[in-house]
Amino acid sequence: MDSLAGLIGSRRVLVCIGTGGVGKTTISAALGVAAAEQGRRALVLTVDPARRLANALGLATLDEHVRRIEPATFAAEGCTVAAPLDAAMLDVKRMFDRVVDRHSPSAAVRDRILAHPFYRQASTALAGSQEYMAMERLFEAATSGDHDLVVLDTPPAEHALDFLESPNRLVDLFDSPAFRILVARASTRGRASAFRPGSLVMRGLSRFTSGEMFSSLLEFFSDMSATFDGFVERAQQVSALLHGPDTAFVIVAACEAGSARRALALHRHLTGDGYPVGALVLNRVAPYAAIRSDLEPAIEDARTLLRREAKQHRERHKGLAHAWATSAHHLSQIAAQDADVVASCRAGFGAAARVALVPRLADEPDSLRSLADVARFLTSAGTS
Amino acid sequence: MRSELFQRRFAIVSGKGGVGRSTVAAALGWVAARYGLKTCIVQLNARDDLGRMVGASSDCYHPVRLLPDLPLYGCTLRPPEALREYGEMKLRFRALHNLVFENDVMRRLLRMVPGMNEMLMLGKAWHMEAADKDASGRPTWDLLVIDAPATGHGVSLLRLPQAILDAVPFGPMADDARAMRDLLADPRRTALHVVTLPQELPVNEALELCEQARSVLSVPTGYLFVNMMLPRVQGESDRRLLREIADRAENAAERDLVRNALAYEHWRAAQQVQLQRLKRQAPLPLVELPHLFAPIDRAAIERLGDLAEAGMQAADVHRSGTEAIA
Repeated sequence: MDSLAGLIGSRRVLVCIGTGGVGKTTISAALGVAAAEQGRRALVLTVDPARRLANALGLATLDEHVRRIEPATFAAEGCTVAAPLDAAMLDVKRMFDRVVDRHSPSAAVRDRILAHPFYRQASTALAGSQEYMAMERLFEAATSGDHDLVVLDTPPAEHALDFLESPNRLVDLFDSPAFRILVARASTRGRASAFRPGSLVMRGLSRFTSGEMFSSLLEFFSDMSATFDGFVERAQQVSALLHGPDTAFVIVAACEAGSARRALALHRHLTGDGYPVGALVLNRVAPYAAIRSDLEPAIEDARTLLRREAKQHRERHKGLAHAWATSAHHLSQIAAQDADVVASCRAGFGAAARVALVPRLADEPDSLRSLADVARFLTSAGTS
Repeated sequence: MRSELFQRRFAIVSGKGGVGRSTVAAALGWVAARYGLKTCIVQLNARDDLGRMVGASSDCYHPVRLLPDLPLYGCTLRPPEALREYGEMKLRFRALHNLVFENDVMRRLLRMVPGMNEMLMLGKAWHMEAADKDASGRPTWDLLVIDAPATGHGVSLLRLPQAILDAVPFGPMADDARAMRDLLADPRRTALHVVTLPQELPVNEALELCEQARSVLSVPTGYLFVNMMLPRVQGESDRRLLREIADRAENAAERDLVRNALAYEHWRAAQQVQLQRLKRQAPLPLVELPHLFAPIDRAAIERLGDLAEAGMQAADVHRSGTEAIA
C-alpha cells in the first residue's frame, strides 16, 4: 500500500473527487505543490473559477492556458521545490469546441454543429458537459507527455459519481444499434418509421415537447453522428486510463459525519466499479484538545489559573473562568465529534486506502507557503 | 407577527455545499409547520439529509408526512419518476406513453437532452406550487421549501427555464418553461434565500449568488442566513488577559484549556471579519444562526427554527424602520 507521498511520486493521474464545499480545489493545489517538492513536473487542472486559488499560486489569473510557477517563485516564499508547477482552469465551452472540431469529418459539419441552438445549451454550464469536458481535458493532459503527473480537481457535484458516469451515458447512447439506425435514417431524410412525421410516436412527442424540437434534436444528433466514433473511442480511452495502474483516486471529505458518510459511500461505489482509490483526505479536522470532561472541572482549572496568575480584579474571575471554560469546552466537543469521524473513516476504509488528516486552518490557504503547509499534512508520516 | 418568509409560497434555499443548506431548509419548514402551515420540504435529486435529521425517511417522490404532531412533509424529486409523471400527464394514455417513453432509444435520447433532468425536477416543484389543489380547490401547500442544489448547479437550475425558451421558443415545453420562469420571477410567490458560513470562500460565493439573483436570474430574494456563528463569550480586555497568561499554564489540563479558549477567540475573530464583509456588501437582510457544537437532530432543528424566525422578525422590523426613514 502506497502512502499519499508514494502516490504523488508514482502515479501519472490523481483524481480528487468529493462533494462540493469540502476544499477539493485547495487539496488539489497542495498535491501539486507536494509533487513539485518531489521534483515531479505536475499540472493542476481545476474547474473552480475561484480567483483565490490563482492568488494562492501567485498567478494574476487562471484560465485555460497552462501557467507555470517557477521554483524561484516558491523560493521567494521560503519554499524549496525541485520542479516547476503548472496550473490551468477548465474552460468548458472552448474545450467542447475543440472536441467537436477534432471529431468532425468536415468544416461544414463542424460549423453546423457549433451554430446549432442545442449545441449552445449543451456546451455551456448545463448538466454533464462540464464533467465530460473535464475528462477530455484530463486525457489530453495525461497523454501529452508534458507532465509527469496531472492532478484533476473534479467539478463539485451533489453526486460525485455523475462525473464518471457522464461519458458512459454518451457512449451508451451513441453505441446502441437502434440509435445508430435512427440517426442514419434521419440523416438520409428517410426516417425510421416510428419517427417519421405524423407517426404515432411523433404525435405523442409533440404533446410532450414540440415536433420542431424533436426534429431539431434529431437533426443535431445526425450531424453529431459523424463525430460519434471519435467520442466513443475517446470515452473508452478515458475509461481505460482511469481504471489503469497509472491513476489513483483521492477522495476528499470534510471532517463531519455527513461528509464522511458520503465519502465512504463513494469509496464503495468507486471500488465496486473497479476504479483505484488511493487515499481519503479528511479536511478541516478540528485541531483542538479533546478535554472530554464536563464543564465544571474545566471551570475549576480556569479559576486555579486565574487565582495564581491574575491577582487583581478578583471580582471578575468567576465570570471569566466560566467564559474561558465554556469556549474551551465547545471546541472540545467539536474535537470529540471529529475524533469519532476519523475513527469511523479509518475503520470504513480499512487497509485499502490511506487516510490523511488536514487540520482546520484559521484562514483559507492564500499563498504558496500555506499550500506547502497543507502539502506537509498530506504527506506527513503521522498519516495512517 | 410572523416573519415575511411565509408570505411567499415558493421558498428556494440555496448556498455553497457544506454550509448547512439542508439544515436551514428543515428549520424553516419546521417553523412554518409550527404556525400550522401545511409545508413540504422538496429535495432535488439529493441525498435524504432531511430524513436523517428528523428521524423519518423522506426519500420518496410523493410527499410523506415527517412529524405526527405538525403538518410538515418532505419529498425527494428524482428525474426518472418526474419524467414518468410528466409524460403520463401530457400523453394521458399509458399505451401511448409506453410507446414513446419506454422506447429504448427515446429513453437514452431524452437523457442526453441538456438540462432535461433539471427541467423535470423544477417542473415537478412548479407543479406542486401551481397545480396541487385539495378537494375544495385550495392550494395543497401553504409553503414549499425548495432545498436547491449547491450554488453553481443552483444557478444553472434557476436559469434553465430561460435557457429552454432560448433553444425551443414554441410548443408545449416552451409554454411550461415560460410558466416556470414566471413563477421564479414573481415577487409575490417566490423568494430565493441564501445560506452561508462566516468564512471567506462561502461569503464570496454568497455575495456572487446575491448579485446573480439580481442581474442574471431576476429571482426575488429573501434572507441571507449566516450559519454556525460562534457565540461571544468574553470581552476584549479578557482576551488580552488570556493571551498574557497563556504561557504560564502549569499542567496539561490548564494548557488544553488555554489553548482551546485562545483558538476559540481566534476563530471567532475571523468569523467577525467575514460577518462585517456581509454587513457591508450583502443586499439581503442577514439572519445569524449559532454553532450548536452538536450533531443536528430534531431538537437542534427546532432550536435553529426558533432562532431563525426571531432573526427574520428582527430583520423585518429593522427593514421597515429603514424604509420609514427613507
